[in-house]
Amino acid sequence: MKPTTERFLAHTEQALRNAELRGAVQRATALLAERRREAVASKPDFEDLREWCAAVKAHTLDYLDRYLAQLIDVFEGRGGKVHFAADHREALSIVTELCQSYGVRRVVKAKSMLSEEIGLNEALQGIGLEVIETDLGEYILQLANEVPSHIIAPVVHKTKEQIARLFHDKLGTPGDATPEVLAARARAILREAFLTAELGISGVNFAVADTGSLVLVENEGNIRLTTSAPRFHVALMGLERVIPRLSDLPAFLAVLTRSATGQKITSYVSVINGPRQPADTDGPEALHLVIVDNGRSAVLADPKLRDALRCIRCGACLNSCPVYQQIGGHAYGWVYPGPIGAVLDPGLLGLKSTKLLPQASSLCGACGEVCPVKIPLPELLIEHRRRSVEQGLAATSERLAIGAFSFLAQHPALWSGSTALGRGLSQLLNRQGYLSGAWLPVLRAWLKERDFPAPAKRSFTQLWRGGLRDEK
Amino acid sequence: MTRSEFLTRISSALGRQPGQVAEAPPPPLPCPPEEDRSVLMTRFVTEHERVGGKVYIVPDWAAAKTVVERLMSEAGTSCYARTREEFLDQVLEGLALPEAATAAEAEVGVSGAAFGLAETGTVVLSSNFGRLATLLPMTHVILLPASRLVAGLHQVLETGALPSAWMLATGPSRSADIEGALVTGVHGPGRVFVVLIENF
Repeated sequence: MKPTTERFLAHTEQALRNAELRGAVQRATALLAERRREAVASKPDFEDLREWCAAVKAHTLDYLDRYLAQLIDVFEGRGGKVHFAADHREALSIVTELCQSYGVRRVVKAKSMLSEEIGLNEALQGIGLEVIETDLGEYILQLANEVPSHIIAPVVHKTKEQIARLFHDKLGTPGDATPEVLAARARAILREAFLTAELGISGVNFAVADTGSLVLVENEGNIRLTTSAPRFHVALMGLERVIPRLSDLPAFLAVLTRSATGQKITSYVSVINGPRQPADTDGPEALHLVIVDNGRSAVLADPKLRDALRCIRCGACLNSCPVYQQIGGHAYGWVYPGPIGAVLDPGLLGLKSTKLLPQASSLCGACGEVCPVKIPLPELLIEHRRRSVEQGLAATSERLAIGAFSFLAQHPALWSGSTALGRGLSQLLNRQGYLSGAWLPVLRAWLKERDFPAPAKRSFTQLWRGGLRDEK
Repeated sequence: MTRSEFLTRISSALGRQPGQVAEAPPPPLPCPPEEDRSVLMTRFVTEHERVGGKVYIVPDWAAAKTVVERLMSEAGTSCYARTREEFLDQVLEGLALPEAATAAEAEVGVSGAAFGLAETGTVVLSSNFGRLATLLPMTHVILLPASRLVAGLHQVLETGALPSAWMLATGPSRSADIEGALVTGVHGPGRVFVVLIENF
């Protein structure tokens, strides 16, 4: 997916004017956040699990070479084949070559953010394959020719009325069809796709080093179908998806599903240990695992940002983020939106084109509080901001303003002089206790959405010196 | 990229030589305790029905057969699909309905389960006995001997031998992708029944 992170401000303005989008995103994030809160409250040891999962993930990243080597050995020992992609181009050529070597014409896909990251659908369509997204949300997006706007709820930005109209236009269902009718229509169409596709592509939630298992978490069953019905299965994973032991899985599942959708467990969890065995009656003949770097090793090498690779893609930070709630995911301009996107995207794409994303935060800290693997998201947002300034990426106006502030703050006489001047001037704009002056550049932006109470005529210091000190 | 180029890149990102001795990972969390079968049964039923499945508790295989026959006639099915566990024979033998040629044609899929997880009301299906019969039909009937109930996933993962896939299934297929509205039976079975056989 081609990043458009540089146009963040334009995207944001567009999103803020889109009442349907904001309503849909706010309703959905509120619902998911509430379900998470209830699920966490009913699990007394959740904090211990979170602490432990964070420690295990941090440890795994510190020894990632070792765990990946173990994963590869065991996985191949069980009959799977592992491929290595340094970047998105290599990943695409691995998958397209696999499809060509198997003579595949039709591919079914389970939801994978990594496949969005590398632009897999376009590449496969480019060699003449039919590619069908099978997650209901992703299928809707494919019909609408859009990309996901949330890590786990890809079509969170659309209302059910919009989806009903889309299905009406594309698939001929009634214009006011209910979600049940829409889902049944999708089931019927996609069922045929599952039974005729030669190859299925999935992501990976957890790759288990000691057993070579690929773990996939879902509610619909499309991942089970994608990984069971076609003759070939190709799984894509970012190099950070590893956990050391199969016995670690219950704790990771417990924090993932509760954080993502507030479920104790999802409808389905597939633990794939290898391709079909001789005695099996079904399942894919061949199982391929493509491990993708695409910028991740640079994040791993960065001692501060490394923590961001603990992410298990639950989406809780998106739901908790007051900025995401207002603008949705597309505004961020790349695959990973919300606080984790604002931290990860600069790591993967470089800060130059993504410098605005870490600014899209009030630093309220909600994302850090909900993260199931305790990624210090607020600290990392500040770290990116600090680096932006260091690298001279901050806007000139911001540099000048902060420079002036810093100069004044270090010179007490100038400080009191200029604040007195500011106070005096502000009285010229004072209209019944509030500032007017929408013609002034900075004030205009503020007054568009909010009032600005006029500063008091006399400062606290003046009051203090003028006798407040002696009052009891 | 080759395996060694890929791993070397990661080793150098971590700032050390490949193969360097690693610290041990944090010790595993303690395994939740095993419980009495009656406790496990109660919890399994509560959890499974909480997410929209239905559990029938029967004393023996003959009673199980009666329930399966009734479920099939309620589903109005003309044929069924099944997985390959031998113990299913005693339930499915002598049924008036034929077995479907492929799972895709069946409206009901009958399977066993390797385990039942009380903590979450989950059935653990093994690929050893077939995958599609538990997945394609709209109705899934699972025959679960009560002796296969365990406290949670920990107990399953400790058993050692791994099939090509474990599939953990907990209630019906569901989606909330359309404005959070819960829809069941999106891709997998929309109706799930567990027949729990108390004395086996």
